[in-house]
Amino acid sequence: MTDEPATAAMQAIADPTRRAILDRLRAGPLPVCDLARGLPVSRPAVSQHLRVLAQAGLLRATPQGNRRLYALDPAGMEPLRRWLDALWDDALHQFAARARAQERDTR
Amino acid sequence: MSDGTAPIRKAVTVPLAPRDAFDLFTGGIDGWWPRRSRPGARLRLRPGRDGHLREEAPDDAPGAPARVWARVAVWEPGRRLVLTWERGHREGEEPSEVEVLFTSVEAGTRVDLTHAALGPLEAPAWTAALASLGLGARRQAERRASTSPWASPSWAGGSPSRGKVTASR
Repeated sequence: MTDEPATAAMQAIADPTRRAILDRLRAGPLPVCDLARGLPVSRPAVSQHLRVLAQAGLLRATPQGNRRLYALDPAGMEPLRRWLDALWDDALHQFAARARAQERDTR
Repeated sequence: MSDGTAPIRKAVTVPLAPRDAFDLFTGGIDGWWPRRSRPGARLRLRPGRDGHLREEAPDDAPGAPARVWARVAVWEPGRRLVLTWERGHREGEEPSEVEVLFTSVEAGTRVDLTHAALGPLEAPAWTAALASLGLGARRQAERRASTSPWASPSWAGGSPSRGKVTASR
């Protein structure tokens, strides 16, 4: 697997706090103070998580007045989707190869 | 660019009867699944409703809780299999669902696979599949790069040929 964007996205969502952040953003954009509320980590830690998610392309930050609004970036999931798509290609290819071998063996 | 909300759909035709294709897909999964999250690990699919897919490795401590990758949600031998991919799944996170249909055709069996719940807003749903598949694949890539005995595991296969698998969108 040399798909760098997919790897970055996977590493980003491997963390439960970052998944919790993504989950909160499903309802719509939020500023960091609202995102941090109720999460079991400090606000600087939340900011750090937001940076990782943004670098992985999973969310965008939009300046609004003196704060920033964070929102999911739908395009960010595309590398992961492509990666999973390729994994199923690979898996079914192997499955079909096994099936052909089994059919030859029983002939 | 796709927004990623459509399920992933794949189809492949194999020269086996539907029941044999189903048995190979389930009972024989260790022989064809292309990745492992740990060296030497084996995949076991315990059959039947309430069954599950789990990974067992030689270094598992005796009595250690099994690493369950997915649960069997539908088990209809020779016809239909549904797995819910829930490894790493937490309360409130939707598991990712894989449905496999086996249909008798002249050449054998057509296998249609659908991996649902993949939208950008379902990011948490990716947890399960990626915790087992994705992170495992990354470790495997690291092993490949190393000179360990696992550098070229037989199950890793070659570069995937897409010739026999068709996307059926």
